[in-house]
Amino acid sequence: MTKYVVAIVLVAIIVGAGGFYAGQTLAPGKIVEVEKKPPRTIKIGMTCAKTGGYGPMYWMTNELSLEWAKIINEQGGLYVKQYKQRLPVEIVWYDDKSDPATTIKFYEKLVTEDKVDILIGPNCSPPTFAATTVPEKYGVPMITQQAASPSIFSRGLKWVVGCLADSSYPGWSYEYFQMLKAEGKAKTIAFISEDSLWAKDNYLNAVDLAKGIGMRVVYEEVAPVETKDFTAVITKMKALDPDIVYIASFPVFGSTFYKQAKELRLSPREFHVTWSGKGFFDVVGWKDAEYVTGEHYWVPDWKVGNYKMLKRICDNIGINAIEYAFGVIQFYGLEIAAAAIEASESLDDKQKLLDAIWGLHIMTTGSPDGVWYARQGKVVDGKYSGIGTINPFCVQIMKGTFNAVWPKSVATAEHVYPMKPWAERG
Amino acid sequence: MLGEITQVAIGGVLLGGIYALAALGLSVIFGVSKVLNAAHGDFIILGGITTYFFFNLLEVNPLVFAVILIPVFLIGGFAFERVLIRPIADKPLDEMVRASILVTFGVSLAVSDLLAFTWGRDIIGVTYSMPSISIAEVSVSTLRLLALVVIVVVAVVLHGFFRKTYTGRAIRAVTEDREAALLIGTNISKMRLLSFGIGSVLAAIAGLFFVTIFTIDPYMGIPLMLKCLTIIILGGLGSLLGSLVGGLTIGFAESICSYYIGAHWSPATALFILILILLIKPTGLFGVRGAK
Repeated sequence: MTKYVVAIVLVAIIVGAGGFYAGQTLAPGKIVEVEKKPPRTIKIGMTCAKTGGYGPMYWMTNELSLEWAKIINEQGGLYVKQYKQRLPVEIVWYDDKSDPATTIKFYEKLVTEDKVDILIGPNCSPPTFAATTVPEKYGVPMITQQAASPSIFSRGLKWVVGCLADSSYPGWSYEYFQMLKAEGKAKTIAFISEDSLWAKDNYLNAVDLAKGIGMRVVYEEVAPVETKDFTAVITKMKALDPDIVYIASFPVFGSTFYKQAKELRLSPREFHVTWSGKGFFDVVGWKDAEYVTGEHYWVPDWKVGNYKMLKRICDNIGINAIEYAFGVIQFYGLEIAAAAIEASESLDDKQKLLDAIWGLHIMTTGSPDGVWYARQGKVVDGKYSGIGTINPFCVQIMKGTFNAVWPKSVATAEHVYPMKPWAERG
Repeated sequence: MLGEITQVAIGGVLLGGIYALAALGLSVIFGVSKVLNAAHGDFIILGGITTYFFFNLLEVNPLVFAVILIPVFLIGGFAFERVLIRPIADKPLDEMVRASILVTFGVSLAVSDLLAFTWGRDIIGVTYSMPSISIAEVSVSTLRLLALVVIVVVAVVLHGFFRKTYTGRAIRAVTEDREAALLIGTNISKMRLLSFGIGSVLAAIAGLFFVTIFTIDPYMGIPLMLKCLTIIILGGLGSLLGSLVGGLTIGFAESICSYYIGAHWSPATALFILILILLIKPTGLFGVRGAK
């Protein structure tokens, strides 16, 4: 009898446990997830300046892109109309070593071997200038990123659309000169530029902008990128005593010049440094960089676009976005690429994908003053490149951070002018 | 106007002092061992990075780190010679020269890539400055002046070492006539070892000033070595005095050219002077015709 009772209890326990398990898994409202393999992945191809000359500024752009894809995939991927479902995103990237020739080689590989769906441009204008020949050759859309040199977009490239506005429209330092015009205090300006594509374009454009607002250009000099000694240039500038010294360069050139300007006591009323991000203040120090003005695409106090996702990505990969305000442009490019993929009727028909990019009007994290869309660039042989609308804003370093000071609509602080001469600075 | 020219001239001499310091080490090594150390520029970068590392750690005047650099790079130079140069040192001279260029060039590439991998994310420059000295309209950089003082002290010490000590005289003997020095029993291996030690220390000290006054990056090694090579060819291969004068000449000429013609032409000045000197005196300023 006891045996029967034990057997019944055991059976009851087993049945009860089974029922409980079934209840847990098949309860009303619970969805049984059947893992379905997506028909394909969306491949986004890019090269990054992980090493080489641009490495210090952009080494993190591949990590930012990979983290972006990880978060997008956690959210289910991007919706593709052609497949009527969300597909996971895959980032295919190579280190172009900041070298234009290597960049071309890898973009060829991305298109011919990796068969990517869309290309994101490399970091910086010189590699971008080289890489933009590849989308033209194979008919794959490319969204360029940290590239604002007008030389890129004045060639009539059908398959290339810029994330940024090119620096001739209305000009890299356009907002800065608008600010100087509105304030009416600075009258004279001296220019020193490194001999590189982006820097020289900015310098030439800034000369026109300065003259356009009635400033007197007292000195202009273009020096090789590898210049280490600026004694002669600084000596000439000191004799001319300009209100503004405009340094058009990447960080190595600019920071070396600035350090020596301090050493030799060159004290204009303001230094304007076109590259005032990481690299610059690492070398000159935040204290000496105080009140330097420059251009940026992002400041921490802006709360537009998908800024929370950007913050999450930066936290996850362990970077301070203030230091890499140019690197985060990568995020804007990915925002545009994602929007285009979701808007396109087809992923395989590249013309439709290109049309989708041209049809976009979206708010990116770098557009506090309006939406991003593609504008028609110069027409060459019936073709034209797409130029973006994201413009840099005028920033000023104050107390170890960047503040937007112009235009007023996006300003986070008042412009401080003039800065104290070196002799009066601690 | 006079003040401006004085400023530029002084700046040029001070720049030349740093060039000379960098080139002196390459000259010592080449003079004694006939090894063209293509990795010399990377030793300068390594000296700069070591300075940068300790500066960030301790935040004191970077010049004090010479105390650390001297023993570290002396041993480093010894190790470099023992491991990489000694195995090829006994080959016939022309073969040894070719092999040494390949070996040291390989080291240079390896060091550049390794540095780019570990440090390459940031541009390296020490955020230290000293108040400049102002006399009338002329401002003189204290750090550059210190570099010049160091180069003068180093030159005097090296001069005394080469003239007054047995080892120094032995090194000179090897520099001037290797075979004769061997015949009188000079230990060439030991001299070569010493030359690498001294050369590496000089490169590291130059690196200290480079990172403090300018900025450095991992890929500067080869261009720096080429600048040093230009200086020692200009001064006369193997001549220490030639390296000093060559460095000062190029620094001065670059500054003057930058002032009068434009900064764009400044880097070409060194090559122009080199061609000019070699046309007039093919052995360089202080080189000796037929030196073995």
